[in-house]
Amino acid sequence: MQQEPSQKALAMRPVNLGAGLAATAAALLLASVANAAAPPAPPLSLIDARLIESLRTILKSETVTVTLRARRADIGEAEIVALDRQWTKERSQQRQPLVARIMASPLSSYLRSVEAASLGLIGKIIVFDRRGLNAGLSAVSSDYWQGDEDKWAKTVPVGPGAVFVDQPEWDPEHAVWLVQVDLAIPDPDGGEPLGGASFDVNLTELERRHAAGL
Amino acid sequence: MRPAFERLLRMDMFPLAPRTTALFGVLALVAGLSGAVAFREIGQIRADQEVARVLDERHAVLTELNALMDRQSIALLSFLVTGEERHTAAFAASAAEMEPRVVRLRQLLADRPEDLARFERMLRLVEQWRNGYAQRQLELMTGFATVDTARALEVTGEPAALLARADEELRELVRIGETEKDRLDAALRAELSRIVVSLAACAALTLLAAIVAGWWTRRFLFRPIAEITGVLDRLRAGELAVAVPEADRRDEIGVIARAVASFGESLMERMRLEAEAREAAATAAARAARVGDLQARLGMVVDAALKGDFSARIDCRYEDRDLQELAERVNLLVSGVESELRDLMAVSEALADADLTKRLAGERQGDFARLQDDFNRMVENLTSLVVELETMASDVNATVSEFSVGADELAARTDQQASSLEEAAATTEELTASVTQNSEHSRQASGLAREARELAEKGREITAEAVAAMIRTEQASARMSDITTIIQQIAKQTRSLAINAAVQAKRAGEEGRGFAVVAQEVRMLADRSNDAARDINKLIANSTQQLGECVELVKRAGKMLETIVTTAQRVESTVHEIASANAQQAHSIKEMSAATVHLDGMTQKNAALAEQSARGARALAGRVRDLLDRVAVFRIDPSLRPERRQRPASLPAAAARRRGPSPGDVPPVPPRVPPAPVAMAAAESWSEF
Repeated sequence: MQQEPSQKALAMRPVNLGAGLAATAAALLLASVANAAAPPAPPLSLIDARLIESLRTILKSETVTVTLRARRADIGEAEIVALDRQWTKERSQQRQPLVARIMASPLSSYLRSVEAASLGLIGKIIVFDRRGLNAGLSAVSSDYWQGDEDKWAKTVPVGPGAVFVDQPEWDPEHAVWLVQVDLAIPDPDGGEPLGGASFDVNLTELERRHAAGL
Repeated sequence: MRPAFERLLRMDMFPLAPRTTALFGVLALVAGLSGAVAFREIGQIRADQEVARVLDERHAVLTELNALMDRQSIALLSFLVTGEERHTAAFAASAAEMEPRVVRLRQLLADRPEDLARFERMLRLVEQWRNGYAQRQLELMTGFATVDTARALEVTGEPAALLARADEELRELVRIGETEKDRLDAALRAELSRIVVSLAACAALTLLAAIVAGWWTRRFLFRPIAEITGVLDRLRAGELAVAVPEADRRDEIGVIARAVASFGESLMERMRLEAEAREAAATAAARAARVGDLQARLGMVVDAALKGDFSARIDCRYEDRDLQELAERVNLLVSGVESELRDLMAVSEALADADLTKRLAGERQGDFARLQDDFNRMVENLTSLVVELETMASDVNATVSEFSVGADELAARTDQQASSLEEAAATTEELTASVTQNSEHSRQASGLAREARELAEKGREITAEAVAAMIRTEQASARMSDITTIIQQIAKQTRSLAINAAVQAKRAGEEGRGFAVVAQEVRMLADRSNDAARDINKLIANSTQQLGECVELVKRAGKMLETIVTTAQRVESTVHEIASANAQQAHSIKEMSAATVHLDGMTQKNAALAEQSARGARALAGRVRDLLDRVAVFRIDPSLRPERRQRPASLPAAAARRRGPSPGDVPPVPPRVPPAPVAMAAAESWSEF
């Protein structure tokens, strides 16, 4: 939750998978500015096809499909803005009906169990519908609408098979490198994606597991 | 009321009966009309109540269904939240409880197709929810990994939407039912107020009819009758000059009024006649008293005579000569009858003691003479009857004894006959067995004959085949003969060639010597071939001749076999005839046996019957002796009594031949000349049984 602002700042710059290595130096530089004690970031090549496939498998759960299919598609811009504002406002309040509703959803419960089962490999997970509105989260996010971020822009409009790997980021609190991996969630019946998902992958843990031969 | 109008209203042109009938008819009609109206209205109300009851039940069942649906939904949600099994049980229980209510509601809605269609639509929605979501959710809840999916399905809101639609249909059904019920209630209220009005109208009509009828009856029936009754009362009181009202009426009351008027007139006439009659009655009374006295006395005498006492007499003298003479004559009659009765009683007492020797003596006249004659004749007849009875009984006794002997003999012979028949039956059965065996043997012989014939036929076929084979051999020999002829020709040609070669060799000189030797050898070989061929030809000719003989022999054998087949066929048919004759015989013997057995049974029955008749004869003898003893009681002139006959001596002998003693057996009785001791002896001998 603490790394949200830095992540946002990162997301402001459009970065794609092809230019990953070029951007790593800049990210490293930026991270070292933020925390001088940060070790060098593990290579992004760790985010391989096997990992992406495991993330896709998580999203294939019927809980995800059922929840996303039930989301309204006809929601208007004004309503989206109002809901996003309500979410942000509720974060600083005792009464949080919208946050509570989304966090209590079965999908959130499922995502929490996935996060817990990964034993530190996967951090926060956000699943949003095709309009970018949160459908389920493993931890509370800062905003309700992801439609103004790369999370949504690099996945849902791209197509059902879209994958976007963001720049690695140093988490000084837990002293790990995190990288955000975003995926479009395809409709099992084909057609437009049902929505998208954003995973915080612990690169340090991933490197450790690779080193351990896992 | 004006008299003319009143006359019109009293309607006296008709008799009373049709008028009263019409009156009560009108009353009954009005009452019946009221009843019919009430019945119809109540029937309508009952029909409406039945509809209301159906609507109430429908409402109740719908409410229950609604509650059950809610309970199912709640149970499912509770299970999704808690995952506890008891909620699935509650779910299943509620689902099961719905079934009978659904069935009942279908029955209730059977005559309302629209509502039924709505109900079915609702059921389909519930089914859709249950099969599409609820069951799946229940299933998903059983796996840890799928719990979230189950809940996610609920979060989509689709199952809730389905249930809401079903609920809406159900509510609509309830609403329709309630509207119907309200309409029905209004109709019932309207019907009730209508029935009150119509029943009140009917009651008023009935009351009016009753009042009019009552007034009419009182005015035109009861009041005239009361007036006529008043006139009658006055007539009874002796007031004879009264005017009778209503006499001008044409109905029964008019008739009564006129009758009362004429009754009054005749009453006056009768009173005049009664005064004249009273005077005549006074003179007759005095003579009646005297006649009464004589009547009383005469009655006493006659009563005594009727009770059998002829000693009473009229012992009073009357002044009236007619009465005195009547009394004397009655006395004379009673004394005459008394003396006749005494004579008759003397003779009949003797008769009562079985003494047939007394007779009525003296001269009598008229019926007394006839009585005397008849009585004497009766005694005479009785005497001759006793005599005849004794004679006949003796005769019957003798005949019965003879008959008894004959019956015994018959029984014995029938027994013998029966035993002979039994032997005959046994013999017949043995005969049957032997004939059956014969029949079996003939059937076997028939089989053997058939086998022999078949064997002979087979031999004939084999012979024919042998002849054919020999003919084929003959043909082969002819061909062999041809071949040897050809060999001989070749040998001849070879020989001439060899001779030729030898000549050529000689011409060649020394060089042809060797060849000449060869040619010589070839010639010799040709000669030997020729000889061998000739020998073979001879042999073939020989064997052909022998083959011809063989064929002849085999053909003869074939003819013999043909004859054997024919003979065997005849043997077979003969044996078959024997077998069928045997079967016929066996059947006849069986019938004979059955007849014998039947005859045996009949003879047994005859024996039983013969024995029964012998027993009957003996019983008859006993009864006849009894009769004789009874007749002997009568005392008659001894010169008239017949001689008692001797019993035949054969009876005991016949009885002894019987197989054993029987209750009907009678021991010999000695002849009884003095009747009383014989009767005693008979009683003693009978007491042995």
